[in-house]
Amino acid sequence: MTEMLPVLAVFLPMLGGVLVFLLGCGPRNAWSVLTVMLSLTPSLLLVQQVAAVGTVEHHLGGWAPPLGIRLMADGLSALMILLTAVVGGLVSMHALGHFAERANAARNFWVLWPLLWGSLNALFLSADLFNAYVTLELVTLAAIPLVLLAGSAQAVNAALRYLILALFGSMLYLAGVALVYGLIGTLDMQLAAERLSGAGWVLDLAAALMVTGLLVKAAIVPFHLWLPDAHGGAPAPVSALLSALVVKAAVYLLLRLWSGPLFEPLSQPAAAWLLAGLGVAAILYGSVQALRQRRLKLVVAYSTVAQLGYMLLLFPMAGLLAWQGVIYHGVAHGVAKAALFLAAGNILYQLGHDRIVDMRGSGSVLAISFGCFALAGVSIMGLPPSGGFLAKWLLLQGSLQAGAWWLALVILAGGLLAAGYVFRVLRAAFQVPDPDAEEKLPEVRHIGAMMRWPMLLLALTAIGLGFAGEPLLTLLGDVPGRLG
Amino acid sequence: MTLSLFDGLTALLLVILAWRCLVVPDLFRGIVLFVVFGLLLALTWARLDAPDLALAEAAIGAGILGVLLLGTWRALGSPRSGETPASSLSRWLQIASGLGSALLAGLVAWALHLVPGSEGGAGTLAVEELPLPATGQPVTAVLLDFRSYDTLLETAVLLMAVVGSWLARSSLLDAIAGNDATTDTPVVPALVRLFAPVLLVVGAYLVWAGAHSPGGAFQGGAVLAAAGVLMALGRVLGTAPNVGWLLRLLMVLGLLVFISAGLLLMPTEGSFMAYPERWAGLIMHLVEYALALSIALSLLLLFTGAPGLRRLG
Amino acid sequence: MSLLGALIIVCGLFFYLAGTVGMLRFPDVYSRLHAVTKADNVGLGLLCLGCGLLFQSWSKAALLLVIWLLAVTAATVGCHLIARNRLQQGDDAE
Repeated sequence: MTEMLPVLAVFLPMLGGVLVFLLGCGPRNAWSVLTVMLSLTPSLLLVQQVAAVGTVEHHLGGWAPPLGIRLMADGLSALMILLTAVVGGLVSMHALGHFAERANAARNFWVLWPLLWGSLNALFLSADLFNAYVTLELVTLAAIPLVLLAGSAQAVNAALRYLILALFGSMLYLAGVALVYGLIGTLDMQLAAERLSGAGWVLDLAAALMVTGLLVKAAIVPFHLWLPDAHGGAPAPVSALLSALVVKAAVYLLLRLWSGPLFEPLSQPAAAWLLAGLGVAAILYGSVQALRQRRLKLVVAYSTVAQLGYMLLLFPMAGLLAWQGVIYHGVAHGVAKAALFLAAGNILYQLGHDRIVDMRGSGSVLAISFGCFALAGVSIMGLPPSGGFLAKWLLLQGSLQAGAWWLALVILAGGLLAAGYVFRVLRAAFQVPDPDAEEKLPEVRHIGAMMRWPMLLLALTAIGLGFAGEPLLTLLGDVPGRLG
Repeated sequence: MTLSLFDGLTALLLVILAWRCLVVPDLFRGIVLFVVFGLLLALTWARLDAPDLALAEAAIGAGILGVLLLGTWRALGSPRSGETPASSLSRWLQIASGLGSALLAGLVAWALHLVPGSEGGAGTLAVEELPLPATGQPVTAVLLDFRSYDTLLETAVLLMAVVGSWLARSSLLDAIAGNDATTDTPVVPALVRLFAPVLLVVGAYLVWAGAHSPGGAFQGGAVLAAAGVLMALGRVLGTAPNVGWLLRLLMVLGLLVFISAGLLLMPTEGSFMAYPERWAGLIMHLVEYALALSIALSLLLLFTGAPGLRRLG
Repeated sequence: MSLLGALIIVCGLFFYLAGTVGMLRFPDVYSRLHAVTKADNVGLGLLCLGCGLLFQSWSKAALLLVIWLLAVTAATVGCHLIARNRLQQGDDAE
């Protein structure tokens, strides 16, 4: 049973999606709920297994590498699968409420999202360079139709731009994989890590191609062009999934390659500092753009551009603390960002618009939604006692340990800018209306429990992650590969 | 000498065609050039002793893709030559991206020239394992045995693509009205009646042949889809606004059979997609046929644009 | 036999050449169509015949015959459609 869990974590969600495709969502969403259960169970069991006994492996088709493909769940994989399960499970609940009045959209969502869930798990379990390409492609190709659920011409535009840039990125990644195979004749990540040393400039070229491809998919500045429209324009549950999980998948693969086959080329000071430089640019540019947006969902989308930048600061620090900090940042941001997007989506639903200037005085009416926005914002800013704080604390220690004090400055500045765009929204919402103007409180639509609770739970989890460092970092374990 | 001259000419022609395809201002000409490019590429694969790729390129790259592009062109309202808006990129950006691509291609080509190749790598090991109980054909062995997991995952892409195309259409158009082909000449239906059965047989043969010679689900599925496209053009098949359950089942049949074969045998065989020696051949044939059906149907639905199909006559 | 086959193939190639030159040089759609389809049908027929002689195998010759028949049928219909489309649209489309 144990060694079957990785396979089940990939294919039970996908079977759920196929089931909904064949039968629809079922009476009272029975098939959708069943699909969530089918997806959650193997994921959580697998995480528990990894926590108990360590790395779980599965040789597909009975063929060992280099012939066959290996699935591997180590601490990092388990943590990402857990993040997907928690965020995915809660966002699924929100989606049940969100799509309640749109039967057709609901059906398509429940076909695509389980396929995406299975694909994400497949990516986190992949230990093969080419299979990672296939799974990354699946993740993207399931995510793009989800953007289209918004049902507008702008959404088609955003999705097409996303598609073209993503295909460009995967083409670059694939070219790099082909070079690696030409160099060493294997695609298995562990074997590649052992055999790829001293390969010279061909390996550097391969690494450059693969990393650039992943940066495009992860929407790192200057490849972020597709993200704000796609994430800001999609329906709220979709935005939450895309920002919390899908872009993170590309960054995950980048970290996985750094800790394995591409350690040598990416550890050269020039490459490490170039990547960190892009990260810094992403933090500053994304935050400033977030400060300038007029629509709430676009603020949150640009905040994703900024937050992803932190994950690139790892490369010049290259220590255990930085590694833990970066991964923990990924997890904390995933949960907080999902909460932010659900809150923004609820606000949009309740007010009928998400223009920040017109939100004056709505804070008292939409107290729960804005409260959740504030709670998740605390984690994004990196204030104690949230998950974001713990991640930034680890990152700060890592940067000081590595003697990169100016990275510490960037981390602090990023936190300040984040405080700027979160408080800008809250200030608009809680501004007391002018008593003389006799402005009426805005008319608001009611949201059901299905849309309220997931947002609240995610926001509380974002704070709670500040106290969960011990068990989660134990699950993550050491840096796999060279540094360990 | 003659052959290297031929290869050189082919390579040169490929580059010229790709270039013309990009810069020609008329969309229709661009599409035709693209199809010619695909056919020449298929010829190149054949020259490189990769008949599987040649078949796939000819059937999917040139055939199905060309048909999809032409369908899109028709949906755009078939602008006459000269009316197609020029590329919105500025001249300098075009030149810069062209130079960048050329530089990158040169670097990769140089790197490929230097790498030792995969001698002794996974490919060599795979060939040493042949023949397997199910197949002796190296490409089929990699696609359906050594790396069948990749093939299975790629199958899911088709489902995503079809759902995505429905969503895109319904976002842009008020109703998902399929555009049934219009033909007022008796010649086309006559041709369809003659050709469709031949194509169906060829497609089925390609799937079956995959076990021992070039061919397989993707190539066969593309040919079957071509038969469907022909029937749609000849008004034998029409579009319908809704998908019936049978059509839905056929669309995911490949995925379902592939996953079930792996999952059901996992408890006894110990690992996913390991099949007992006696049944391996049969299981792979089943998987191939199911896949081919799903591939053919998905490609056909991408062409017709509407979710459903119905018989016209 | 192989000499005869080669000779026939060269003849076939000549028809292809003529058809291509015709398509490039003839003034209007109808005469271009005429050049391409007529010349190519004969050219392909000769090519198949020549190849059949070179292979010296009945089964391959039969396959080549089927290829020729299918190609001729498709070319006929294609030619018909192009000419028809041209007739309906008139000559202003040039």
